[in-house]
Amino acid sequence: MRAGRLLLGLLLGLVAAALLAGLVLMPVALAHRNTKALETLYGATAVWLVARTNAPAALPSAPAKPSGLRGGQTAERLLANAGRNAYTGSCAQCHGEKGDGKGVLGTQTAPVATDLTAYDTRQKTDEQLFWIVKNGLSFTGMPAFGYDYPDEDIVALVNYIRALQKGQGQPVAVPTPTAEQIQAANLGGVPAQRGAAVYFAQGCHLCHGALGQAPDELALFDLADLDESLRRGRPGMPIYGPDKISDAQLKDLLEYMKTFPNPEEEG
Amino acid sequence: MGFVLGLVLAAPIGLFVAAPWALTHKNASELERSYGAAMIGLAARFQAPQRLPDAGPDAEERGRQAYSASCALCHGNDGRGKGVFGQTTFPPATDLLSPQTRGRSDAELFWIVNNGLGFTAMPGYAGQLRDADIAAVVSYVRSLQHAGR
Repeated sequence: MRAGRLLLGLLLGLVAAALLAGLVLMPVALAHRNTKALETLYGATAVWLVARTNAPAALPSAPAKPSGLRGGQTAERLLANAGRNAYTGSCAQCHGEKGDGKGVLGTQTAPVATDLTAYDTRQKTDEQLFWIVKNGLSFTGMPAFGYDYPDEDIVALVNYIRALQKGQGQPVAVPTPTAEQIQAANLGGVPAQRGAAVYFAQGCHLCHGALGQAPDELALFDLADLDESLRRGRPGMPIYGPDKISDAQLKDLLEYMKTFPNPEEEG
Repeated sequence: MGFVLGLVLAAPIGLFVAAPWALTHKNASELERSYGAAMIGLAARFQAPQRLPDAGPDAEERGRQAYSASCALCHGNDGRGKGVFGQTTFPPATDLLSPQTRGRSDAELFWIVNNGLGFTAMPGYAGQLRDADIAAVVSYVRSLQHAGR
């Protein structure tokens, strides 16, 4: 009898705690900023625990002849650039171009973006980092990049994070869009303006610059294989299926990209 | 006695089981989504400023520009949450054309943009955008809602 009452009380206590957490703690959590040191330590431990539990036993092996290999480029260079390019477009906004977590958005979310050069991240195995990048971390802001990139690109990303930890990252100097350039994006405008809206919403400017004027291989002047590049991806470039960019939007996007200045014509 | 024990026991369960599990959680049920939206509503209602700051001149144009630069990456150019990062975070970016977002006051939306939402990917823009620009973004979101009707 006494045991029964104790058990009932226990259950009631658990239910009361769940209600308290669900209806009081949750709105407080949503408004929460400024993480305390203890909280950060706890969060890092929880992340480590799930990464350790879920990480694959081994990384997917790198393809001997990666797709997208073009003349005059070694597979090593291609994969290194793929990691750097993917980092530039998908990670640097939060984790910063040096990996220190000081990206423009990374300091504005709660919890803040992890410093990838700090002890916690250095201690993680490649497999654990692979799992985190691929699956994301729910309720932290960390997206799951397995939706965007094939495994070989995620391995390349992990390698680039290791390079950042050694201070060997080579950030790409992608020009930041000016207010005038962003103004071109207008859903209610002509096709080129609607295309600009797609361009910025899909983050094309993060790697290629607002006018496709990023350096070297990230420059966008050859539009002939746009369709192929978007739908199937290129090394270090997210795959943009019709769920992200519809066929109609693709046409608008092309109209916008046709407005890019051609450096050869300008001399 | 049992009640207190239950209350106390809930904390380690939450901290050591529920939280790590939450880190891997994906695919919200309808109930969970409604609950999340309701909690955001609750937080916003309590915290929203009494009065929306003045958006200033050319609000529509400035709002569109700030939206394109800061919001579209997740919420998409049409506000439906289909920007490049919008569907790959969990919880995913809110559909700004949803009945829940339409139902929030301008001041509540202002607070959400200004403060951000903890434990979601929503950043707080207080450090990056001036109050007038955030108010302009809110009015641009209203125009997206109007256009998407």
